Amino acid sequence: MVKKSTAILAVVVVVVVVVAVLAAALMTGNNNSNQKVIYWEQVAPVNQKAAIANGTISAGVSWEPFVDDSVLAGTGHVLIWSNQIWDSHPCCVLVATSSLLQNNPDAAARVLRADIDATAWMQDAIAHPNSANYTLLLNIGAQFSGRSTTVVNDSVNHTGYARTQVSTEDMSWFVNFTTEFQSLNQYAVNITTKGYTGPADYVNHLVNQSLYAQALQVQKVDHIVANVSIGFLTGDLHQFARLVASNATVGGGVSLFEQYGVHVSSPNLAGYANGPAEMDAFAAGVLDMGYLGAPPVLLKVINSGVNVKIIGLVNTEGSAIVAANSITDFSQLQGKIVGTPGPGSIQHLLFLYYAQQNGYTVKLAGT
Amino acid sequence: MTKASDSINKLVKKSFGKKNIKTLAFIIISLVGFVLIWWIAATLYNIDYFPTPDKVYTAFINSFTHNDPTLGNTMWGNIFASLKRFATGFLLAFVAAVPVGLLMGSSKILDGLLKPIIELFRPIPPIAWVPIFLIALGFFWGPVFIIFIGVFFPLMSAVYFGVKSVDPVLLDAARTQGAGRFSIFSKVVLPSTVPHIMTGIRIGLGIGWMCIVAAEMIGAIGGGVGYYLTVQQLVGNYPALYAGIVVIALLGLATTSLSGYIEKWLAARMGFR
Repeated sequence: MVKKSTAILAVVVVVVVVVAVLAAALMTGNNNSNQKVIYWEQVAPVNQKAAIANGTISAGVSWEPFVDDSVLAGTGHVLIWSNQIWDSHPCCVLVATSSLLQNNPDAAARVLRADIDATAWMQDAIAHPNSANYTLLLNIGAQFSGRSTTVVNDSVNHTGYARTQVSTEDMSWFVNFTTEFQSLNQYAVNITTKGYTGPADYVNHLVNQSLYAQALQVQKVDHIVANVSIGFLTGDLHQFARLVASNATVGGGVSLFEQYGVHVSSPNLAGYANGPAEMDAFAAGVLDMGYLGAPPVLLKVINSGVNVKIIGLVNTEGSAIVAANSITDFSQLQGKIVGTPGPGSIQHLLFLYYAQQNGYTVKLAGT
Repeated sequence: MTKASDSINKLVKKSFGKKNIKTLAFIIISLVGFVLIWWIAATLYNIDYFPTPDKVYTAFINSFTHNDPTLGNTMWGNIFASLKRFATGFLLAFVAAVPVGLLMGSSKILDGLLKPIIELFRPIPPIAWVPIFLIALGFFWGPVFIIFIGVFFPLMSAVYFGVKSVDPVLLDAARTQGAGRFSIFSKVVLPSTVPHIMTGIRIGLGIGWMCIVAAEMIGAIGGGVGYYLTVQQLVGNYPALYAGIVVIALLGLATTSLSGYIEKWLAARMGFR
């Protein structure tokens, strides 16, 4: 019997020690008070409102409509808009695989043309907020994102849909993003070993500027001439042009994509969680074209060898750092956790850039 | 997994006995052959997401010696984060599953009352809870409770069946000698369920380990080997991604070997085998 009680005692001691070690480890989680540190954690934009509300994160970086979703719900407020950090920065782009551009450039030009027309339609609708078209725009956005028309209204006004042609300024931004990724050591291989002389050369190779002119020559047809698989991000209203071009009502019964002879499909009907995930879908060969942020394209063409080209700009600006109402200044995020869509996304890059500009070290939460 | 760990255990025990030279030769031929085929295939395909073994080896070593540029910690930090969650979830499941299994096995009323609920929840794959747990319980307790669910059901079932399969002769013998309900429980039922508990632990460890990797892939505080994979996938650092998979394989092998060893040790000590 002595043996048995000793054994039980031993078990109890082991359990107590393990629990104590765990408790100690838990309590020493985020305890760097004498250092300027902000922590990050991957939280999908669609979940950031809930995560801020229950205190899991103190702030989140997300794309529209999830910025205004949190703001209008009273969960948080905008600490800083992306254009206050990077004025007029390009955000989402339209890309096409090199194989599509080689084998069927006409199909890519048709998609781009529908996108150009859709963007023009949007600009007109936004310029006339009392028009029926604007109401239609809000309804399309609300249905896609699962957010109210009030949220969509604010989102549309915080995002730039001014142009589809990639400008020289956009190109410089792409070079800046590339340089930023280099300084963060995010390239698994050096871009020079991939055959580029430097960031500018890389960006020049990555952007196809000639397709835009070809797209402007495309004529409408009365039958489908191409099937194109297009990727997009979950509930992302930066990529509003795709929704407008897919909508039959906008086109007066036939969508703009179909008017230009393109049947559009998507292998992932809910959209991809972030740009890097969409780049993986390109690597898997299930996409011909896609809407996603420029930084994941710049990152994963090098790291994953995904052969895509940027053929158009989708939007500028339209991201923000949303903080819980108790946080009124960026400095109050000291020691707190900020949610981002994940490494490789433009929002993650924006947050790292801004925090470092303000002298903060950024660490993964819990490290 | 268990077969592999058993063969390694045997190998260590009888190290280099004549009979085992054959086994050792097979292991070496098998592994070297695997690496060679991998190398040739990766060279032929020449795609970024299918790196050659040397690149994965370099990434594997680097992951332990250098801070990851995206995560800012080493593989040790990720392993520690995963093990912390794993241990917490496993302990909670153990503390809950053993009493529930014992009580359900011993009391017909509790069995009748709890069984419908348990049968309702048991078929749900633990991973199904990931999206909601991460939001509702946060980044530490979310994954912990996914492990809890993964370990709880197999462990509880094993304990339950252990109680049910107690030799009725032993129970009768105890009763004839005047043992009360509590004595029968503590001196007959409990000791004879220990081997079943151990089987439940071994199964639970395997499932729990799969759960932690999957749960961490969506998001986890302090990193973790599962999250390490997600991040390498996001930035497209494929050699590091494969290195993470190698780490998971090694840790899985270590976990099952350890539980197999404890099971044998306990069985020998308690005289069950």
